[in-house]
Amino acid sequence: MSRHTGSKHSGSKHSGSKHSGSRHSGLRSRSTPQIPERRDALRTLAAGLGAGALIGTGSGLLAMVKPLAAAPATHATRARIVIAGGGAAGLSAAARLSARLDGARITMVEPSARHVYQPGLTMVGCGHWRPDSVISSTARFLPQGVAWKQDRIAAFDADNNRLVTRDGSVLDYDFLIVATGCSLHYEGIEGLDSGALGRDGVVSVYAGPEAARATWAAMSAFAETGGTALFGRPVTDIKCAGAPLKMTMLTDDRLRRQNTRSRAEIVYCAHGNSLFGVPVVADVVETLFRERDIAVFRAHDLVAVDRGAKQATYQVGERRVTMAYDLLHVVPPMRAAEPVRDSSLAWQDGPFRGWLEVDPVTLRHRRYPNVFGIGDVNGVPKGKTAASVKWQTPVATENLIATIAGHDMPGAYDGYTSCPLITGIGRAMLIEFDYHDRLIPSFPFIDPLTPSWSGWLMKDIFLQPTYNAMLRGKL
Amino acid sequence: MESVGVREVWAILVELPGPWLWAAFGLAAVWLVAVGIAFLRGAAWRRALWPSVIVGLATGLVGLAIIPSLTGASFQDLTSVVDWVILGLVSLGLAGDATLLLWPFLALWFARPLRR
Repeated sequence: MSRHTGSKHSGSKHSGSKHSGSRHSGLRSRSTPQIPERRDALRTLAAGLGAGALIGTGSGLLAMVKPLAAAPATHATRARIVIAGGGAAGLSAAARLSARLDGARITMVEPSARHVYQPGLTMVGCGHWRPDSVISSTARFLPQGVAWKQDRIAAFDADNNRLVTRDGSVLDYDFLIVATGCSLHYEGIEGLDSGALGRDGVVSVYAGPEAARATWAAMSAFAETGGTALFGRPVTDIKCAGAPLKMTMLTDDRLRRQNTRSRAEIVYCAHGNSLFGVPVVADVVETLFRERDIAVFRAHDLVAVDRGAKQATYQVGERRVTMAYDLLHVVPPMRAAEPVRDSSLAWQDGPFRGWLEVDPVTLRHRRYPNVFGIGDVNGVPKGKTAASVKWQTPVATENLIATIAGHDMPGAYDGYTSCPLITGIGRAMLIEFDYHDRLIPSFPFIDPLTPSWSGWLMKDIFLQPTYNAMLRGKL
Repeated sequence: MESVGVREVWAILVELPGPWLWAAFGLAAVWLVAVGIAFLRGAAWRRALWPSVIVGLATGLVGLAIIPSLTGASFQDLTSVVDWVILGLVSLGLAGDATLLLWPFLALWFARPLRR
């Protein structure tokens, strides 16, 4: 297989969001019939709910289930495909490509044998789930026929179509999928490192199941003693931008359940002037915070923590402000993994500097047409969630397959992402939106801006099975 | 509303937590055996129907009462009509499941030989 031959895009250098030879020319492009319609996942959930709940009555939602469709055709190729990263994006891409390509030599590079269901970390952090509920293994989801190189990536050499792993192995590829995710940079906050979490009132659900469990323990202790709890987020792009808001409201909920809310002051330090990227959602969160007596400080960026003195220092414009805390929930600055940042694959400047330079619609690299990106690593305006991975993976993989086959790229990603914004145990807002901050609810009958039990049910029961099905390439 | 595929629904259902899935399969297997025996014995299906429905409805009512708490929620968390409709449908489904489940067993019970 010659490198990216036959594609109308071969050798083309993209700039901006226009794609020569592509049917798509901007962010407003929509998915084609060859790509699963967006938001099917949540609709599928509803059907699953119906299937389970209504099987006795034999009616209801099962009626809208369509007949079994034929599986997509496979494409014969001897292409060497390397998938850099084996998290949600890497595994789901591996599953889809191995099912659709006959004869391709696919290698996934992932150091970790443990797979964490990251959307469940807030559920662990609020004590509703046990830590082991979110832990499984990479091998469990690795499709047959895909080679697994269990090592870290040391460097990308995109000009020569190869990458090098920490043990010195060189992997040549014809096509590359970059799915290396986000790197958590706790050390970017003075006085902090990931080893400090769970002690001295400093917690963070982002660091993994154990850290999320420690968050729950600290939150419970705080609910006994009261004091000042500080929340917030950094100025960098982060994954699951709703998580800091969720943890703020869950702490409030915990205190109220324990009748100790009056003993505590809860402060949310927003990185900018708004609490959420989608204005209409930000307004609702502002209202919820006001109703719950949660103070909001704007344009506060956490820059230092003195764990001994239990003081957090924020950059506020040109000055620094220090606040005492009893509980500090840290969301670390995030960036692309070092090998991506240090390679020619990254944006060299602009707002996404350091993140993977992909076209936001086709998810193909703007300068290397045999490279595609999926998930948190992408330097695009939205989409650092598992829900985004669900919609990005079919787009990127189908576009890759079309490129191999020498066809136009059929897939277009519209920025769909979803945030089940938990407002307390038992309630959540099922918020879905796109690149243009438009709300695009999958269920027209559920108000996305009202905390509801239905939203909570989705988060608590149905999203993880959907996520697992996604990892297997079934959705 | 768009339709969804059987394949996708199945893909999600089989990802439900293992114990629940195996319990459902096990129950279904026992149920099928009961149906088979009752059918072969020409059991009293009609006489068994209403007791099955009554017990099934009772099960649904219990479900109605405890399902929110099983998810960590309380009735105060049911904030919209949709929430109540979902709870109602799930309870109704539970009632239907219980009815269907009991029916062959009760049919066998009603078809047992009476002692003189």
